Amino acid sequence: MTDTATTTSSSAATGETLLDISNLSAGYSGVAVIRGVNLHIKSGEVVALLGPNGAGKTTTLLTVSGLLKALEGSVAVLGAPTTFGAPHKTARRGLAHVPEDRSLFFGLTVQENLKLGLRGSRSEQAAGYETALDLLPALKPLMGRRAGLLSGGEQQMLAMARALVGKPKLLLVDEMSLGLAPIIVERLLPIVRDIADNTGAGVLIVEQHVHLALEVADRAYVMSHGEIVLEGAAAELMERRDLLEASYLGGGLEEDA
Amino acid sequence: MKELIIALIAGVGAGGLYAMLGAGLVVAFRGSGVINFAHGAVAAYAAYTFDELRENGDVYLPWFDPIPEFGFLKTLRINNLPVKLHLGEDPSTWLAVAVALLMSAFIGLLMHFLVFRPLRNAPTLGKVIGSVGVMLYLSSIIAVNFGGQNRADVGFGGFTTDSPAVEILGGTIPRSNFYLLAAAVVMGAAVWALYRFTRFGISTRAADENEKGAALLGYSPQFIAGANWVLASVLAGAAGVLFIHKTQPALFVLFVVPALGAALFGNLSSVPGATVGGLLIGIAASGGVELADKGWWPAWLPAEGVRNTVPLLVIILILYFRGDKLPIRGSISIGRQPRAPESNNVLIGLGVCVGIAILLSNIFVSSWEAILTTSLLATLFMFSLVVLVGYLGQISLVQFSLAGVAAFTMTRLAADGTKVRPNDFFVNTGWDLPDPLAALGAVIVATIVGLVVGIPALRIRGVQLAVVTLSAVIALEDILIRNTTLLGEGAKSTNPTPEPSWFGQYVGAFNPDTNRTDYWKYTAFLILAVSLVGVAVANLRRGAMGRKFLAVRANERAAAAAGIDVSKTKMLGFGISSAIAGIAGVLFAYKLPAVSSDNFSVFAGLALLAFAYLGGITTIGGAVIGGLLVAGGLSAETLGVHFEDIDVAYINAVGAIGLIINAIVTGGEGIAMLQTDQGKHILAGLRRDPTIAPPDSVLNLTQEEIQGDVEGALV
Amino acid sequence: MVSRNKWLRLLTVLFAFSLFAAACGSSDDGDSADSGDTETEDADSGVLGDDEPEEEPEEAMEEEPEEATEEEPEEAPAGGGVTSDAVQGDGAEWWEQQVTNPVGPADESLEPVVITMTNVEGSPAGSFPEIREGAMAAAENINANLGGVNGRPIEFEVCVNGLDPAEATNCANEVADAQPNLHIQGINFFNPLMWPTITGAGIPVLQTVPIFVSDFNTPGLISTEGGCVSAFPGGAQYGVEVLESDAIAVVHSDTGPGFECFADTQERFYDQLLDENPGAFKWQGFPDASGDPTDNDAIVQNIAAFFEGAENPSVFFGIQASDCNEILSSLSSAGVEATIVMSGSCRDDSVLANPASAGVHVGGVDTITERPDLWNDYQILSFDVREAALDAFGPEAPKSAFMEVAHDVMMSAWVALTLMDNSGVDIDDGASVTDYFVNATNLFRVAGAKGQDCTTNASEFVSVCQKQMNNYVWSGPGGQFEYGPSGEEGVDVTDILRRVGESNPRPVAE
Repeated sequence: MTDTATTTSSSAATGETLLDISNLSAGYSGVAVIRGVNLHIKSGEVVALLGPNGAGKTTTLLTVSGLLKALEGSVAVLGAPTTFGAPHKTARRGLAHVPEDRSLFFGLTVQENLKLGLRGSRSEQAAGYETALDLLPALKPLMGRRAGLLSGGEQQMLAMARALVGKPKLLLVDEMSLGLAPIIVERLLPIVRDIADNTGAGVLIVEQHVHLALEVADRAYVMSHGEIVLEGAAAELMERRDLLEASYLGGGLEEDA
Repeated sequence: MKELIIALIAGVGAGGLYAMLGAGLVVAFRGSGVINFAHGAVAAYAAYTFDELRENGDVYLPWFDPIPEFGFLKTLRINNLPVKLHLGEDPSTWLAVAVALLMSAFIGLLMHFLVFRPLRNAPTLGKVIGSVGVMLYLSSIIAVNFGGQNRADVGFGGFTTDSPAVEILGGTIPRSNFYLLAAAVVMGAAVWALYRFTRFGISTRAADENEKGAALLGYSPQFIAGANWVLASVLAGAAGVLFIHKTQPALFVLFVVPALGAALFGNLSSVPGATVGGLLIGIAASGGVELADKGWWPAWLPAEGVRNTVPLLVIILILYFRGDKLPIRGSISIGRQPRAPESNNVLIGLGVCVGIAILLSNIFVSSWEAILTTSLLATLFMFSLVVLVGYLGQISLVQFSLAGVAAFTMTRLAADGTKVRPNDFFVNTGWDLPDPLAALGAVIVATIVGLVVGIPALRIRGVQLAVVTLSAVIALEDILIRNTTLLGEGAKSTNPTPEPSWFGQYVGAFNPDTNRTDYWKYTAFLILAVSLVGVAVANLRRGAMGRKFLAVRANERAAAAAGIDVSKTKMLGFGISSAIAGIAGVLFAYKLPAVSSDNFSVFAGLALLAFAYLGGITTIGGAVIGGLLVAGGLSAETLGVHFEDIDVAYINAVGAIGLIINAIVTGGEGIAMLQTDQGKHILAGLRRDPTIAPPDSVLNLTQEEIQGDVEGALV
Repeated sequence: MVSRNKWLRLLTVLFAFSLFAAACGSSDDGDSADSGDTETEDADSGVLGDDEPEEEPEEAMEEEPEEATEEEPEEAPAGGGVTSDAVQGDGAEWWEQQVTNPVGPADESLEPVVITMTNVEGSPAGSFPEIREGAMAAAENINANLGGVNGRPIEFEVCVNGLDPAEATNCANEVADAQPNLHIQGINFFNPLMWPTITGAGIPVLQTVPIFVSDFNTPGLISTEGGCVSAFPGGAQYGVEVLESDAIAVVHSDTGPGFECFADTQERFYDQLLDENPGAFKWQGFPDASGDPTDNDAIVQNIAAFFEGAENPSVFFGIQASDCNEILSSLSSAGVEATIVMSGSCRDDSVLANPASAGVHVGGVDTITERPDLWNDYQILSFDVREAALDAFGPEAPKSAFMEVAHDVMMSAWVALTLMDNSGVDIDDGASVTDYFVNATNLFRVAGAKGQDCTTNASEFVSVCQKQMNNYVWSGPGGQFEYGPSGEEGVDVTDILRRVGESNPRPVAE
């Protein structure tokens, strides 16, 4: 599978593997919900993880950041295995995970939320701040407002910005479009493309909006019933709607001929 | 009026202490979601450390030498755990303060790593028991290391015993009271600023709200918890050191109760709120003393009761009406509730137990009979905990006080104005009811009181309910139990109990022939009561009501959605539990020639809860085991024979450790469950992962739903 | 897998079983007689002390002998050196004889004299190991050096309980089962629960620290110590008759026992004195919540208001030491001018170190413990014997008044039992022993200044033989005690106890 490097990556697209999931099985209370998952992301890539509800996408993300324990297989984030039970360690190494519920701190202001995402020296922090607010300028006038009082779209922006101020090398975004009006989703989703291009970070997005996701992604994986059933370059997958449909509905699949 | 104002102002002294302790409690709660009942004990240990250093130049580490030095072991001189460090004679005051604060920080670290971190995934009750265990442990260690004597330290700085007086409105107030006020305000402001402006503070607030989010941002929730424990403990230590000139430090352990009131006033999240709350409690308490001196004060409302209770009642009211807005800590994961299986073969189990009890009763030498009845009585009481705490999941700490209410009420109802025993000092007048009626009346009264206390539970949950019920213990003690107008002359002191006679049979425990508390009819009566109540509780569990209880325990909203009347179920649970507690209280009074309010104190109730938890609070079998373990009960006395030379305080300390370990290992199911198949699951689960609540709709979709998703996605 | 379960379960169970196991099995110190040379019979078992004139006292030692021997090295004249039965009580001279010429160890082969004790220990709210240790030290000394009770060693068994009525009941049952010759009660908050069992079993009881009313009025109990029955009526008399105060504030504890003591040994007495001296003074009780610092300032305010217009007010504390300190400091801070009288329960190093304690009258025993220069030779001898015994024993708790009391009660018991044995009383029969005490008119209490007459016990206080108390004035921290207005004699409450019993009796029914 070759990368469809459609856009010019300006800086830091060194092609190093940021995320390497190998034969991963994980689940709850000892019951595997995902099995034999293989997935990788290189720097500068946007990878979409698609599939119907319950396919195991969120589970995969949880395992990557260390909130869930792998039953089998391995997960290597930025070259080192992820630490289960200590997600903060992986986060400090450069992983940013925006979970499905966004995990905003509603009692804190926008500014305080952002402050918590900062990392590194003073200048690195300032740079991170700048990057995030450049990408999401709508937040600037909202600094003093409590996060709980923001609209859905604003909250999602805040969640993204908070992840970005730490200048992550690997960004996981779970269902960014959840609960948002389509027009807002259309505006927000391309930001991940900018992130990958401008900072060289690798981005993994879990999305329900297949079309929008494939527009910004380089590659995509489709999960169904806990397994990867389809993968390929985003552009190609966009052409093969029949494959997508079949993978969503399950059943056997021949590889793309 | 003038005196009232003076008294109110004078109250800022104690109020300052409560405010400082309350601030520390809030810090601990925000950092780790634990309400630390041991907070006062930490303050006490710091105060003792301060004083000991000044007196003797010694520092005692907060443990004891685990290799006992009695008997031949003394000669072996095994050099084991260091306990006492000699720092030199006559250290400077500031060194003593610094060491005391360091010791507090150290204790905070120990609490974090040894107790609360292992308990981080435990259900609420487990954490409550854990902190109760720490409180009991520190109390015992204080007794071991510092002895039971009085300490009176003159204090330091402006916080001294000979602080000059300040003239206000013609009265005088020691200046140190105002220093305490200032200290409380400074502490509150400093912590508030810490939380507001520093990264540490913001991250604490963040983790308090959503641990997962904080972790994903790179903050270790455990580090945050640990750091806050250290901070909270240092605050407690500071409070202790500043207040030591006012009273002796052993009493600080109990100050956790007004401190809890202060913390609740701040909604367990606002340090300034806790500061204000603590000051208000101190002021109101002091004013209450003044008011109680007035002639117009009604006799049936004991003054000291009102003084101690009014502030706490106000807080309950606030919580009740603000109930929806209480903070629930957003932890990453909360372990499942302890299992509460039905008891199969109840009648067989019952028959076996009764048989054993009767056998023991007959073969026992007389002094063992009293030990047997102690255990049986405890088991009977613990049934009430099984119903309310185990099945219904309401953390209520007040049940034993209800037993006290029943005991005192029964005494009053049965009294007839004559001396029961020739040497009784107090003579109670009463309604002269026959004993069965007096007992019934007492149980009814206990049930009513229990229902009233249960009303807050309709809106208040979890650990806040625990705090509210704890304050109810104090309220009941001062307003009801020690109420001479309502409950007789002896209520404040030693209250002589009647010699009970049921249907012509004397059923008291005191055997007039042998002069021991070993009368077999009492034992039989007790066995009968235990059996009947045990069967009733088992049936409750097996019936629809039991399932409702468990449903409410698991998830109130879901239960309501399933059509269960949650309020009614809760009230029913409180009612049943209170009735059982009342029965236990009456039988308790039948055993002793006199009862006093001390018998039903905070510590007595907590100890019983702890033992019930240890045995297993969710099963009847657990209550039986818990009864075996209580002080003066079968296991304690058996062991007592073999551990003659060990100071009781050591044993208490070891027991508290055992309690903590149990909370960590069995998560509330107690010893009873270790014997079952489910127990093996638990032990296997010791390696358990804290699992996240799985995302919605795993593996549960229908074909249509998928289709719908796909269509929507592909638009 | 199964075995691992079992181990874990066993471990948890073991921990659980150790929970709060009150060591109600005795700290068995009974056969503590060290194996020394066994003498068959000890000498002079029949010597009751001759009335020899006081010879020049052999012990001019003010310093405490720290070495572990207790025999006075100088050869002393047999008996009657510093004591006189007529003054200190029957057996005083014999006691002197014994301690100055110790006869050696008791005879292990003889049937022991069993003495039991119950005591509260191990709880942070109250722990008094010093009582047990003081008595043990005396018992060990008796067995090792003083020949026991006519050769019979003392087997001393202690049942320790915590603050739990069930444990206390168990201890009472155990004591009754043990059928001792004598029971010495330590400090226990459950005395009323225990008496029916212990006295019901016919066991004579000596008290160390009586607390409850039932400690004073239960037949079969003998108290050579006063407790609140001598301290508080004495305090009342002191305030009214000695100090001639015109306003008396009586601060008392609002705990159960405190309340009882106030109602029984203060209220009625002040009322009685008021009846006898109408208009001479006014008085009021001020309950103090023990251990609650929030009410101290308010209490002091109330006292100050009460004292307005009085010319010679006094405050009497009948509370425990920790509360004494608080109230004392509050009174001082508030600038209340009054004579402060503290009962012996307030006598504590911490209180005496309080700057506000200067000029306070403190209740005490027959001697000023801290003024050895004022002691007579008998008191010096008592002190030396006690110190030596305690040092030989090596107590873990620091020395205190409680420890001394327990030691002296044990010694007194030994003397009394020996006298009984010598005069033909069957010391294995509880009733006989009790009778002896109850009918004693000149009972010797070691270190006591005067023999006690138990036959003059008021009917309301049948147990209380000690009816003497005194107050000494403390000059302040680092200072010393001096005799106060009641001089060396002190206050004798025998009469007022009788008067109150007649005119202001305990209420029968409310």
